[in-house]
Amino acid sequence: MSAADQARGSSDEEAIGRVLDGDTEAFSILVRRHGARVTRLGMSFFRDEEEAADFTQDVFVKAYTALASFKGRSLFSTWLLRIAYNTAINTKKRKREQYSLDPEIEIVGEPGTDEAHLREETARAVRGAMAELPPRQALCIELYFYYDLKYSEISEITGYPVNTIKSHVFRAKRILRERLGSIGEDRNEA
Amino acid sequence: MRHEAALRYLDELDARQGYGLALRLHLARCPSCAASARRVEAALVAFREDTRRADIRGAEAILADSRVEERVMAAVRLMPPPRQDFALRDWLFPAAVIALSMFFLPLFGQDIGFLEALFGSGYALSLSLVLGVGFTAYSALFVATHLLEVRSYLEKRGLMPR
Repeated sequence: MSAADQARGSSDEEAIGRVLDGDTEAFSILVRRHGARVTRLGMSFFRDEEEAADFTQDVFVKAYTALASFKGRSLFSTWLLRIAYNTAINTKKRKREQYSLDPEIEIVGEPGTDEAHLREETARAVRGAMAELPPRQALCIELYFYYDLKYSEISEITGYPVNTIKSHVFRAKRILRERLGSIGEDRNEA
Repeated sequence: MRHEAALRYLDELDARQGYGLALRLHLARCPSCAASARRVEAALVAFREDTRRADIRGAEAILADSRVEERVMAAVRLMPPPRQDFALRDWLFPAAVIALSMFFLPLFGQDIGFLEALFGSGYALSLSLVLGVGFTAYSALFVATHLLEVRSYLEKRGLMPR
């Protein structure tokens, strides 16, 4: 079986089991499967490709060391993102840098069309909601809207209480609903 | 369900959470709330598609350019394999049960009087011996399966025999 076949056919739990049984090479399945997510989070924090790559390496080495402590109570991806989040926060603290979010979102669709307008408004609403919050809390919104994570999973990753996350996401959705509502009204008037 | 309550419920929904029955009934009867729900849902799907397409493409390019997988695998090959957690608590509980049984079981002479009938008056000593052997075997098994931890414990306290 090729490495690609293995990556497709083996679940995270199977790959972890193999690593814990001494098959170190099986760890590459997890790196391949979850690397982009971790790098993406790294880019959110560092806005620098080289730093994001170093960060990804760091996160996976930490995950390998701590792999035996993964008990499967949450998804492996959630567990890995928690390591990534803590690593990013600690790296930022060490460098005494402020975490700033400046998501640049590529809008797809014909410019000027309803679809492009809708996408632009959504990106603007999410960005607006994130800009209102302190950067670390803004990440909760990113984790919800971008990663499609549940409140409990975000809480597990960031350590914020579920109700805090819920209220931030609620506000962001309210803003989005109001903006999209006004688009709908504009269309009806036209 | 009123409009305000329906919209509030929609905004409170967790990721990947389905609509409740009351909300579905309301949306079936209220075109304006249904349209609002559809708009937000469609907008979020589009937002995720846009950001993912751009970011995953970017992230994959970074991973490939920086050969992150190779670097990670080169690092982990040099590291000791991850070990299963040392769950001392799981081992201590049965050990405590055996140890306490050695002291307390013979005290319940009246309740286990049938043992006296079967094995004679010396059964209390026999029971302690059996449990003692059990405890020793259990301790030996614990040491055998946690050699590294026992060694590190002894080394830290300078008790490791040379």
